[in-house]
Amino acid sequence: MKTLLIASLLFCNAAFAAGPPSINNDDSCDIKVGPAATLLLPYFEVDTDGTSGHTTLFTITNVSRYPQIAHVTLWTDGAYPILNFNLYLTGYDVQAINLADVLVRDVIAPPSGTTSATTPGALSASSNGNLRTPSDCIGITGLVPEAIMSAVRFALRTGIVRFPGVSCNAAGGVHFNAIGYATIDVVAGCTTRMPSDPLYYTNDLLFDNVLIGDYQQIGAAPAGTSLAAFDAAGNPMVHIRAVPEGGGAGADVGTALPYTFYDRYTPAGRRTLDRRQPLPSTFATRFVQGGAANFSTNLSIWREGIGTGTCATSLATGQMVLSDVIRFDEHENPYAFGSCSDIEALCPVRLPSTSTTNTKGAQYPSFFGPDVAGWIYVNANNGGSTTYSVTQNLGGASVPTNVRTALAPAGSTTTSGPRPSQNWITTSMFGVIGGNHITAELDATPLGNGCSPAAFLSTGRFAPPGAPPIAPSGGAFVCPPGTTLTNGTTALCTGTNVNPPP
Amino acid sequence: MTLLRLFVASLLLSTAASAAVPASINNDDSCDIKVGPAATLLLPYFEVDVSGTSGQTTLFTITNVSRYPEIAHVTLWTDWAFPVLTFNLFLTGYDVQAINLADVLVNRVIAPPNGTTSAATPGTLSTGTNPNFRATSGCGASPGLVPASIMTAVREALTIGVFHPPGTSSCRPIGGTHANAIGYATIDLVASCSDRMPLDATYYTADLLFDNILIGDYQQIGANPAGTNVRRAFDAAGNPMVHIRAIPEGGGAGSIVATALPYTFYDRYTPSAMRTIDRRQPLPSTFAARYIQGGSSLFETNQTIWREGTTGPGASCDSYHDNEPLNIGEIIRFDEHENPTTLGTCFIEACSPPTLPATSSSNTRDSQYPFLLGTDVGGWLYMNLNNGGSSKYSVTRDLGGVSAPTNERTALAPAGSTTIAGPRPSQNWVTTSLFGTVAGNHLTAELDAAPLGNGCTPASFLSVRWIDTAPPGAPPIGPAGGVFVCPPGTTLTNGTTTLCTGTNGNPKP
Repeated sequence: MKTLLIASLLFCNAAFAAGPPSINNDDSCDIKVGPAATLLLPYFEVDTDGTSGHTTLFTITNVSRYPQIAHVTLWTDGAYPILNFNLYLTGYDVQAINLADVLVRDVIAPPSGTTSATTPGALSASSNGNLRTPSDCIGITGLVPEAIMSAVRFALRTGIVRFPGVSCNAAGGVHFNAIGYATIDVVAGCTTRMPSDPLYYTNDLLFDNVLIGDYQQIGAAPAGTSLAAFDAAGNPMVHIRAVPEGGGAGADVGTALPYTFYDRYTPAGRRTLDRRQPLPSTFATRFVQGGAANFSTNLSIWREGIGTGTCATSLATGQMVLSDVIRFDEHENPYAFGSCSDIEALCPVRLPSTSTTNTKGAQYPSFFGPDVAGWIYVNANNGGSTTYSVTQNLGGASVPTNVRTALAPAGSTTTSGPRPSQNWITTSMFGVIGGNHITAELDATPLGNGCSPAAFLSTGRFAPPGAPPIAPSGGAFVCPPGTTLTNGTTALCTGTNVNPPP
Repeated sequence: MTLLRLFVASLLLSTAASAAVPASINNDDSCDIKVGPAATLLLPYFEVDVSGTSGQTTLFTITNVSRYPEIAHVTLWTDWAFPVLTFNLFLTGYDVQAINLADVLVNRVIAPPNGTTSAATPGTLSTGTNPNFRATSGCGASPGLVPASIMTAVREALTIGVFHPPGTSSCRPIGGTHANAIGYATIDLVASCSDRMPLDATYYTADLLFDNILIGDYQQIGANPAGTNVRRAFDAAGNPMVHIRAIPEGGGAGSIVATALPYTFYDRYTPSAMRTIDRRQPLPSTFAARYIQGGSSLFETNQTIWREGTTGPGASCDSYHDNEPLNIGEIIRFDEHENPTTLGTCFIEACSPPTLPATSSSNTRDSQYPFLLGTDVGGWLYMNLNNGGSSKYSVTRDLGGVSAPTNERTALAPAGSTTIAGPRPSQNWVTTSLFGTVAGNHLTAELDAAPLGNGCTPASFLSVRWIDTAPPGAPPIGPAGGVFVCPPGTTLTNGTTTLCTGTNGNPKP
């Protein structure tokens, strides 16, 4: 444990090497709601019987005057890409997609899909120098053959993939509803390639931060229950920017990002080719459960999988370790899993690539006493993987590596590979007062960004000596050069907002 | 101002494109607003039925994600940006504190049953002291119960715009008239249980702290489509508060630390020679927000808009009226077929533009928004909420290593832009509430609108004037800096660079 503390302090001493902050747009590792090149819908759930109305809607808006192509990929909860389609957006276009239309009625963007033959609005431009010519988007189908969609539904409900020439028995979990996640990328043509194909990055992907998006989960209910049917929870999608922005399809541009959102799918020698911001691994999220309003809280957790989206890796992706979960009640009493005090012990908490779980579930420490609320610290790092990379700058040359780096300090919750895994969490709170439904959905708060090193295990049953305390990434207190704390001391000025170069 | 000049100004701004700088990989190191631990939280709008009959109220929750005790200083402001009440919440390490504003405004109780106190026993992972506190924090006796005479005055201020606490002269008008109490709240990290308001310059030199350790969210209970009779009783809309970070972070109370931020959230309240002393990130001025109105689900959309006022320290009661009709730079509505509509006949210089006060929730059918024509029921709104600027605003420039505040025009207020006075655009925040009814069930979703730039971005130009087509030379609506951005050495997919006029670089002021 002393080693842990020393490692933590060494890292913290970098505090005073801070550079000036950026005042520019799209110039940070932080995830914000703002025009982006990729949108992540972290969780969808659709009743493919079509009887309950349970579905996920999402809407994409092109905030530029140029036409854009949004390439939508649906993934199973084992991170297996199962379907992709393109949406042609004229300048300033907004396109809503009801996934029940896609998965139940086999229709993308009813009645007949999107097409580059659409007449643009009065303020919109008719062409985009970043789209391939001639356009291959004129004949985008709005109707997907039932044979294909039947296989997609089956895969999203059972994890079994049965396409001609493709067979996989462990691509995802088994559940009554179709469950998975979606990515939406700006691309140069109406490609049919999946993001798991390296050619997607050298030929298709674009880098313009021009899309915004949101979603509504209709029929939202506390996980594992059927309460609150037909209520809706809505939130922005995760807006993942290309940093730096721009350039044509296949543009190979250096980025300060040490790794990217699509890391494990990118070509071997150019692992940051997508330039998409990485996602963080530690979060703080609220919960309310119980009380007079029968409150309940779901956490929807998206997690980076392992491997390259093949059948062989989906099984492991479906059962990934959740490194550290600490629950605080309203009196700051911490609760952890008693018998799982370190990562090597293989904590029993495992979750797939996307899930919705109730905070009363086994994934979260139980709590006692009269309180009905508080917050949960989640270090969702899956322990890392050698299929992940970090790109180091060695004498001006970008060199990817999959061995331990400064983003995976010894003793941290990354036990394999160069960095922590990527994650995103949204919180849905439900209640019923006088027969009226209360539903609120919001992002959990990342405690660092995707460029922050892996966090250390904070506590078992209680905080072991030397364990870095739970805090914003880098710790508290941060003291700018020349300052002291209010009491005139600097002894506790061990925090930093600086993330180390990998 | 000719269109040609507008165009030239736009191009001059855009040529900074190729001067790209390396991105920051650090935490808390950008002008962008994200959801993350912060030093100030903004609750952009609250609405409470002070009669207590309908249940309409606003809840908010603050969490301290550090192990140290912290003090959250809450200030309630009217919808014309007049501060009417301040109270402190003592948070032990890892504490979470929920506040129901009906408890405060109706029942006069802060944090029932007895308020918060530094005498609270911390949890086992929390520490008992914080070296950033004043030696005497003054939090041992934070009142949980507010005297009736004071709260009566607060309620009147928030409902009829008259503030008349016992022993003072009446101050009016300092807010709008509405049945419910309407306003906004700021929550700052401070060093002691101060009773100073953010209007007081001493607040910045003695009280404010700079540790980014608070997170917060809110729920609007009884959320309704604004201005309609549609009952959505006891439905709720929830969202994170606006998380405003101190950059750079840290240092004790009264620390004077340089920041690269050209101006700050509390700009107009800060001491005259130290205008960025709060180090709080500024908020942006342009947004993209979704709307749905009509259709089989009878959808409605509210835009809840917080706006920076223009009154500074020492402002007279009368002057708060200036924060009621704050001009709006421009709103363009796009339907689902990308048809743009505007308010028709309004040059920003030549007629009365639409206005909104410092905080409001308005339905997208209201007169502030261009009409939705045709058969579509959804789309998005481009909102340039710049109020035209003010000479009370400042921007701090680095002149040979010396920080020099100015209230004259700067590079953040280019000639011809929608800032017509002062050095920069005004700050704003927008959240969108979508409502619908399906088979008697209520659908309510609340989300932040997407800022198209950040608070360090120059004021935007008017994009469309009085006809529904873009006049030649008007900068098109788009992310701040424009499209396309091309990193050095790259081209567009078609091999050209002619349209590579966009930039993510914000100019130094």
